[in-house]
Amino acid sequence: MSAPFGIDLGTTNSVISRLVDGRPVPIAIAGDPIVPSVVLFAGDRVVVGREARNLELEHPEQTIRSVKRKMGQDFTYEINGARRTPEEVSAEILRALKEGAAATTGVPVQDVVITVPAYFDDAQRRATLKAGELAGLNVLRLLNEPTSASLVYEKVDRARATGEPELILIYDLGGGTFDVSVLECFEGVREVRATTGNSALGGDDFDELLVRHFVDSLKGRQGVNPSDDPRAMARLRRVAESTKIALSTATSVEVREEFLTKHQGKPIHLELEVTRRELEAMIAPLVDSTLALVRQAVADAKLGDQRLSHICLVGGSTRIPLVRAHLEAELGVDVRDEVDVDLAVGLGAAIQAGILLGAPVERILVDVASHSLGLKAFGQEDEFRDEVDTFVRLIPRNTALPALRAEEFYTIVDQQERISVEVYQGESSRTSENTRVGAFDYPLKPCPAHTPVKVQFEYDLNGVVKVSVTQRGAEEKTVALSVADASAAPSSATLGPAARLGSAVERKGRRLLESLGGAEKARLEALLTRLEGASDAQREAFEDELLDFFLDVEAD
Amino acid sequence: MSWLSSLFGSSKPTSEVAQPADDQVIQQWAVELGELVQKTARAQAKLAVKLDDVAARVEGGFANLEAQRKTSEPVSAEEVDWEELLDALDLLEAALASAEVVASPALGDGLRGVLRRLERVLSSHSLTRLKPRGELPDGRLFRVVGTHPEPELPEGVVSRVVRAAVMRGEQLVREGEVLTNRRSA
Repeated sequence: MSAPFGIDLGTTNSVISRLVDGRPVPIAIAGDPIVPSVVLFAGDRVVVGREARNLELEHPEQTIRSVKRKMGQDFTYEINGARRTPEEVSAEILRALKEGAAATTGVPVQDVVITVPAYFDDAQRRATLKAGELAGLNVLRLLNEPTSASLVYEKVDRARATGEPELILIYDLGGGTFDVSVLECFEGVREVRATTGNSALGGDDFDELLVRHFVDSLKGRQGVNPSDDPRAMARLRRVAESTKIALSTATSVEVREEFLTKHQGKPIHLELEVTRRELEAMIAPLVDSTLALVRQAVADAKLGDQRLSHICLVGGSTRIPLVRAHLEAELGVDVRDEVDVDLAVGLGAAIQAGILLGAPVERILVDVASHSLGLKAFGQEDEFRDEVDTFVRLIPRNTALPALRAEEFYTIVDQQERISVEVYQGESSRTSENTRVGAFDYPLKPCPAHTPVKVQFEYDLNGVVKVSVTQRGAEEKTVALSVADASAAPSSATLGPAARLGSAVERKGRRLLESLGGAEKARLEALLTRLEGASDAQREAFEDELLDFFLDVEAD
Repeated sequence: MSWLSSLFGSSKPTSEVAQPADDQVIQQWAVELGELVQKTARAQAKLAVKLDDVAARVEGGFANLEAQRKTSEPVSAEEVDWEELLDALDLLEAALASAEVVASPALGDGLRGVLRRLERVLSSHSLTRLKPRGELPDGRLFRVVGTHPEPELPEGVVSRVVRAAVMRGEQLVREGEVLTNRRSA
């Protein structure tokens, strides 16, 4: 049997991966698994990937990017006097991936699955097949990109399978394109029910907004416009991207670019703070435009009385917290991002190749937060309650661990003396219905109402969350809390040690699920499901049954 | 309970030899014994689960300790994040080109001395900064991010280095950025 490889032939970037011991693994080409889909025809030499992208500005007339947009069209590129079809250009990318992967792994690349957008028509699919053929590949199948992503997410969490048809929304926001699809998955069959998108929207647009913000700041504060200084603009583009990435976990970033440019012979430095809120305000219209397309896809999918099961995120720009928050608010279902969002489509292609070649495909092991983790904070609904009860999530359920998230909260009254940091886990919007993890006080320096206080959660693989609180200009306070202990504790604080032990029983049950099969597994699943939904009063009896089950298994 | 049935499954019924009056006592005794055995077995199972849990936490604790030990060890050259220093060097070079420094040769000499010191630190860690002004750009090491006219240089060569590329031996540690010469720009 030949080795199964999968290729995500993207508009901006491409990825090749293979199945190793039943699990998909991305392959680094020239040190990076993400290969820019750029081809440079430099005389007799064909350059693909990062090097081609790096020289694009120097040789624009010899460089081709986004060839995917031309696939299946009656179109030819004319470069150095030679005519080339989009299939031939795509074949160069595929050939580079094939040769690069073979060089990295030492395994020849022959049989592959290549992904294509779900909206690709017959001509575009035939052109992709042709490109594969020209690259000397045996294309086992063309796989729709959202289908590929759904395959990876399914392999991460097989336990979710309910035996019922599932409707999944795949939200794919990359560097330069946006696609959204609704998939129906049932007994291994995946059907794309609806798909739409915007081929000119992505993270690069977010970077551009930040660059404009920096330029406006320089204009406003120093009366300098660096737009004509290519060196300064290159630095601003780089700092914009790094600021955007940093703001996915931090709540603010200090931007300092000394000697950015010159004005009347004097050096100009850029120095400003960018907060996550500012970035969110800038990109909100663009994110909202993706939500309009999400609504369209959901409408096109004609759900009827069915409802979406969950949302799977794909593409680097989905790491922005606002994207996730808006999706959750819009659709009210779980958002999953535990797979590397840049690689998900390519990894799914390797899984499909493995399935087609009869290779065993194993579950993908990812450590995730089993419950959402957050804080008690004063929310709008608390105005009508006797006590503050709003739960603000910082780390959502299913987030891959270790995870780092920060959020800004605001003091309520003038001269507030302290804030009480109460950490909870659970899925309810009310803390009283979640499990308390721990609490501590943070003394405040005298400040007016609405002063920001930063709270950061650092959640590790041992179930310990380090909670750090900082008021600007004051000392940070960090407290480590054990979430493993909290998950054992029932939501009612009045229950004693017996109930605490019960959760250890439940955890053992979950671990045991992995090693069982057939009727025993089904019985254990039923016992666990019942225990999950048990009231405090029922819990002890149900746990006893679970213990009896362990004894039965051991006796067998 | 199948495990309980197997425990009592081998014992013969005693009703053949016992008096009817004793039957009830024996049955009662058997029920109580059964319950006791069941409770004991559950308690043992609970203890086993608890022990497993404690073991897992101790294991996690050791892993945590190991991680902490590793982070508290002196940082080796391979693990140092050079990004800040490399950026600072780029900025220092940009400062050298500013009018104030050009107008003050002594200041320029001093700053160039500081630059050389910092570059010696990099060299001692086998790091080399590449600033290929006047050469054709190598796309494996540099990204061309724009053009800048320098009449004395040939067309298409690197006219300014925005960000130096950094190598350790044959390995690229950081990709650089350059402007290339366009006389018409």
